[in-house]
Amino acid sequence: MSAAPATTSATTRPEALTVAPRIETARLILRGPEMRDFNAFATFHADPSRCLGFGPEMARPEAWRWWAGNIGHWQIHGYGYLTVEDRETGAPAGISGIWNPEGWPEPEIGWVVYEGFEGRGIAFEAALAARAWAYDTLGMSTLTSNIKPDNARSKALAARMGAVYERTYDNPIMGEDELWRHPGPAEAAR
Amino acid sequence: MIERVVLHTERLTLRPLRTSDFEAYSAYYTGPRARFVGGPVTRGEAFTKFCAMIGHWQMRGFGRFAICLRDDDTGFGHAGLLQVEDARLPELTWTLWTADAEGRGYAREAATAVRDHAFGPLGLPALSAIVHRDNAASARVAEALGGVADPDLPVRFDDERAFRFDAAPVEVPA
Repeated sequence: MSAAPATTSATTRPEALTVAPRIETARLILRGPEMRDFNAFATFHADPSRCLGFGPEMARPEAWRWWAGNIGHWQIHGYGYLTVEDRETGAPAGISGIWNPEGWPEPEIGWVVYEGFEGRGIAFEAALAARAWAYDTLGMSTLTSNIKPDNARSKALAARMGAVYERTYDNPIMGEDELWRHPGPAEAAR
Repeated sequence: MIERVVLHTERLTLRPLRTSDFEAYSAYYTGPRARFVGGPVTRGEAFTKFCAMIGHWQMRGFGRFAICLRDDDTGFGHAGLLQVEDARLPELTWTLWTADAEGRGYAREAATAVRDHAFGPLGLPALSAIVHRDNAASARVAEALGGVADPDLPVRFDDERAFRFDAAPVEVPA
């Protein structure tokens, strides 16, 4: 990773339910999810050519419930998916963060990049920042990523982050799923 | 933090939902009492719904509360407002998680407080309520609160019917 290390500051917006960090990387800002980010997420989740590695295709009301659920997940766990904002334009470029709903094997790092933001290493930059935050601020001792067996791009990204395949298991939402293990806090690249 | 609204009635407190409510909520939604609202669901699905109820407050500025007795903080139901789609009326909802809580007018008391809060401080002009056709108890609550059956309002499933609630018109002095 050639970019400067991410900087993190805890911020509480007055309308926010939870304290989410604001993490700045070379090209991105990772911050708490907001209503204004929802359209981009709904567009992504209605497109089966893009979303199936993340979850089943969703109509807009279902995506709305998911987005609200992410905010609730933040309140319950103190972490969740962050909006990944493109510093240059301010547009939401995707989401990345730590996810651990009921039935999950353990907390995972996830990442999604929206249409128009692919091919530039944005997911890598965002996921590295999210992982560093989980280790250095949340104090997590290990992290995984759950990846669909046919999702070659996400596997390549996980491998680039130093994660290794550990086992295949049955995920309550995704079905057959691969669990990849990231390097721990001492070894993980920042 | 957003303003965390708490409502009080004669016997009840409606307060924000929190993590400690999840076990009782999940027991409700994974059991037969959820038959009129699309259940039973799995515990994982119940978690997803629970998270969404909490996040709804940030998305809309209103949402569902836990229902407790005034002198006991244990949640035994939820009531409040639900609006997933911008183009639809906010829905007034009320649910008691256990059979023990039924038959005492708690649902009606909680829903009345939510309705009054919606038409008063929130300034909402109209609400809906969606009730399963076989859920006679909830239909009675809707009617007691002034709900009028309105076949023109959208429902999610064919076996549901919708009630409409309108805020009383503001009287303008002549």
